[in-house]
Amino acid sequence: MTKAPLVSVIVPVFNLELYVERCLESLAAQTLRELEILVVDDGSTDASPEVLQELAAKDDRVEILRQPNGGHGAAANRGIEKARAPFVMFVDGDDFIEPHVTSELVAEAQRTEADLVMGNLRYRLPGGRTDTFRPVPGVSRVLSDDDRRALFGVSATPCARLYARRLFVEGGVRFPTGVLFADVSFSPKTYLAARRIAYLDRELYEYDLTRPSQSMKQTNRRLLDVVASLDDLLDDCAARGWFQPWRTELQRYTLKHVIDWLPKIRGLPAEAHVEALRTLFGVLERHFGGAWVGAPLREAAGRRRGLLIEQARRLGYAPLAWSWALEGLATEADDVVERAVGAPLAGYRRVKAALKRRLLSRLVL
Amino acid sequence: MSRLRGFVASWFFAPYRGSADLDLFKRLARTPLDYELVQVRRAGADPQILAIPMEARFSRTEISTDHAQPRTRRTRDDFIAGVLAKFREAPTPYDFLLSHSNEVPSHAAALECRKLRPDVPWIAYFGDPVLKNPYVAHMAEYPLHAEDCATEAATLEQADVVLCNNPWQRDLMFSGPLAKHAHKAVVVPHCFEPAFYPSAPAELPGLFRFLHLGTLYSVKRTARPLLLAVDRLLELYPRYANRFEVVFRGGPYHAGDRETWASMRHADHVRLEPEVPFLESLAIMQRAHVLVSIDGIFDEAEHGLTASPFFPGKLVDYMGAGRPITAITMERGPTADVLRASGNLVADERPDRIAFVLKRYLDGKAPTGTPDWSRYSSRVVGAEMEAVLRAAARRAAGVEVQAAADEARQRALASLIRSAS
Repeated sequence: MTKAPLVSVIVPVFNLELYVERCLESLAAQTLRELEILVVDDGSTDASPEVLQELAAKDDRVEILRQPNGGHGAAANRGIEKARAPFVMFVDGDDFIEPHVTSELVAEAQRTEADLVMGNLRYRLPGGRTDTFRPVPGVSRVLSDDDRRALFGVSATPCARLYARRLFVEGGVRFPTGVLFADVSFSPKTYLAARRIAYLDRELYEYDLTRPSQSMKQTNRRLLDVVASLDDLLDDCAARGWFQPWRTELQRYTLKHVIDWLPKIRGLPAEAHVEALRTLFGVLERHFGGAWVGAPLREAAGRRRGLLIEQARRLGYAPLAWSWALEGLATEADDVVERAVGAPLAGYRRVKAALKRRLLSRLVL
Repeated sequence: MSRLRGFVASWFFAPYRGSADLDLFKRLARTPLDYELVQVRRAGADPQILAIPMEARFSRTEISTDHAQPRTRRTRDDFIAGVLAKFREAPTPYDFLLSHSNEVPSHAAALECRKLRPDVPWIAYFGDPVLKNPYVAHMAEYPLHAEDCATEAATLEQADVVLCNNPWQRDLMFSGPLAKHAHKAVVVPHCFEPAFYPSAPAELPGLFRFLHLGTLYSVKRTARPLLLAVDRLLELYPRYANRFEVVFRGGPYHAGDRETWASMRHADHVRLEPEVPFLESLAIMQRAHVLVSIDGIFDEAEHGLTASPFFPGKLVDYMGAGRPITAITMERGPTADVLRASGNLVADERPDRIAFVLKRYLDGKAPTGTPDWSRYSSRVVGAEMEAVLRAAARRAAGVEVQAAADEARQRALASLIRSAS
């Protein structure tokens, strides 16, 4: 490395043998050369270590850190501990960035003196399609207090962002470890720790949604790790004295995730529904008591769904599971009726086809 | 050593060119023994197959029956009657009886022979398991399967030696109630026949070629994972566009594979070519950069399998071609064992993993040399087979038969090394 790095790029990797080369090639192609590329191999069991070794041999800015599998959060934290540059960025090993990205983010951070610069994500979808995720509506700007509050109403991601390392050294911000959905806890902490946040209305991250394991099986009970991640966020905020000043935003953020998770919970086996719902809503009960019921709930879930959840809460959320079961039964009954009604029609069509084949085809030119 | 004289019931055999035909022929061609062999007459004989220099002497009888419908009672009865008639003709007893499935009626015929001459030692060779064959569950119709299973059980019980081509097959076949017969099991792998291959060095094409040769099925063992992987590789790394092709030589291609091919974004990187005669196929193999084997992938939950019990005969034909080999196969099983031990790369059915393997070969990061495959040469396997047949003929126990085969292998390998040096 010729100059001191300006950006430490942290690349968590777990079993990404096919992807990691694309990621590291995109980092090697950055127009900003002053990079420290910290690849954290989180206990890969495929050929990722071999591939990483080959790539590191080609670029002395790449350092490989290996650790037993501890999950995405633990890998990212390892990178944070090791980072030495004034700015930090996260690029997952299955994603990549365009050559101008680090340069543009650093320029914006220096121009605005922001310690968090956020950009848009370009979602790479199957079939070559793309879509854009904008965490902030409107044009590029330094975020106002209202803008910052609005961030608690959108999904969180640590990607397409440049962080001043100060947030981690002085602010002590870290990912929760041992849980899926660690981002859910991490991002709001950075909103609260940052003195100034800037937004760049540009696609600064290529987020690959085509990888098969990107879509988690709905039957996986680790879906409920989101509760542990939210607990980590809310406990951490309480410990730092952020909870009361930001209580409304944190409640909105938590409610959003709980409501977003309901369809996922429905994908679990039916016998697990009630317990899972209690676990999910438990995070609201623990941190906000009953304050989230009423207007905040209806704002997050919509009026009708909000009322249903309120009623279900009185009976330990079981009615929500019953409603799903009822809908399942109704669908099955509908299938039976449709098949019964459709049978005569199918029979008529078969007879018609046979007549056409045997008679009409001989008579008609 | 005297030339033993054995009787062979094998529905499939050379000069026909199917995998099972060639499997038994390659095993026996180098044994200095005499065989009275009964097989089924079919279409598509290739007389050149029998033209190689052989130490074995075959006297073949072909039974005429409806070979296109092997799974009917009548066809089987025709075959079994033909085998028995030939078996009865012999004026003096044979030194051994060898039966070979596929098809299973070969063993049914041998069971009848055994009734006639219980004193003749019987070696039963199973190319594939029958009762625990996981493909059967995926077949809409598979007549007489129950009968085949009963024949398999009776064969394992009554045969003196049961020959398998890989240890995973042995372990599967001799599990459960049949485990009590495991002492009869002997493993001798498939082999390639060096005399089948053109001696002139083959020239590789300008475009990097991955080649799959042979039959694919409508389920499990399909082209689909490889086709998806080609698209995946080019989607992630467009720089490989027009730098390689994947060629299938086999067919007929099932509707599922054709549909997958038609829906590919990079279908121009894949060719589905018709079948070619066996000997020509070996020459074609030599003109590929990497040969691809595709196995059916089964799982424990659905099929009760944690390893593949199938050793594809095509894999050893690939070895003889002297090109790198990769495979889509289960994590454990003969293909994975053989290829991993030789440094080749293998993939499961995930397109991402297959795409990675393709990429490694394209990047020159996978082995490009030819491992020492002499263990699978007919010179070595033929010696093992001879040892098995001789040991069985003197009524040695299964363990002794396996030991004789192992010793013969060591001797044959040592002899090959001496002659090479």
